[in-house]
Amino acid sequence: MNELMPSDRLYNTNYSWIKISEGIAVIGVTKVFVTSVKEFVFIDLPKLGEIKKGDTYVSLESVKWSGHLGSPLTGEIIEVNDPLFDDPEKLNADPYVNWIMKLKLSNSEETKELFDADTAIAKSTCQVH
Amino acid sequence: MRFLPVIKTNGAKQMAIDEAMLEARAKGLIPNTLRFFTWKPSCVTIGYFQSAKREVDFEKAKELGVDVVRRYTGGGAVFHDAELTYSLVMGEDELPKDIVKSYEIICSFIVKGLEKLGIKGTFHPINDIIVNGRKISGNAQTRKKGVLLQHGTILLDIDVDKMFSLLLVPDEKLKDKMIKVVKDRVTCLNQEAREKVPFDALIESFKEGFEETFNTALEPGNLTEFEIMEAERLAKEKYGSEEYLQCR
Repeated sequence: MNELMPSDRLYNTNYSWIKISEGIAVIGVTKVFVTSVKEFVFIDLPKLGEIKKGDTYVSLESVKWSGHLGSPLTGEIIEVNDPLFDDPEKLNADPYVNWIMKLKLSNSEETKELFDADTAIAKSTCQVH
Repeated sequence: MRFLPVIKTNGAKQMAIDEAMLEARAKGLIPNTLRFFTWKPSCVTIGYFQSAKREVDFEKAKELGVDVVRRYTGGGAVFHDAELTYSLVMGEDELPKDIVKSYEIICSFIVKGLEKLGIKGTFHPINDIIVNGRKISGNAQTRKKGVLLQHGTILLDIDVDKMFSLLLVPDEKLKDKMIKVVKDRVTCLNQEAREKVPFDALIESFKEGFEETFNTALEPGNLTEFEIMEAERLAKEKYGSEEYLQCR
């Protein structure tokens, strides 16, 4: 298994990973991304409720980067990993364990636009540098 | 590449225009765009993640007629007074993915612009430009929906005492020392240039610097209807709102 992009989940072009099971998507940011931007110092987490694909689901500031990542999918946010707010560096430690939100999907068609790990690596879509 | 006329207005509107440009670029409604602007009235901007009440003396700001606005970009609090500010939106994939490298490339236009004014500046990672070892320009970046927004300042003049009367410091006992350090480490165009540079000549120098850096011609343009409407909405509902300013 590729440590940077495990094959047990999907990816988008904007640094996020998505693991889908029974209509629920667990979403976080990729290892390549967190390695590139260095230590996170601040994180803004989403609120429970509806979110559209492309709407900001997480805002982050690291020692050399700040940005706002768009949700890879549309749905209802049913759970947020709130402890990350106080310890954003947990994302650096293990971004594949420390997910950001769980989404109840409302448009499964959108998942067709996501990539598997091999495609994501081939496209280098998730690399920041 | 579109080049907008200089807009002189308050901080909430300036930040709203920047975000509206970012949204418009993300929707493919506008080309890459550069603009310069100035602040009326002077303004303290705080970074996206900062706490306004921890960073700014609001009583002093009110007394001096200085606005306080939260930025969309990260970083620290900045007092925008006698300065030229720019903002740039570009497709994220048109710049190196390496963050410091992207700062360096964009900041090159300021270095070139300074050179045209007879000032030798150098890029100082991560995001500053220095002249004779002292900072003259600070820059901040954010990225969203595949678009990079970078804005930054070019100091024309600096009043460090006024700045520190507005910004709170973690330890009051160290304030005098911090003021001295900043005076030693920060410079401005009026100190470095041989003679006072007319405002239009300043803009022209940095515009040419940009065209050389990106090997492109800047085409004069104006904000689109979408950007104007979106900027008005954001200025009212977001950047001009007390709720957004005090959200941390």
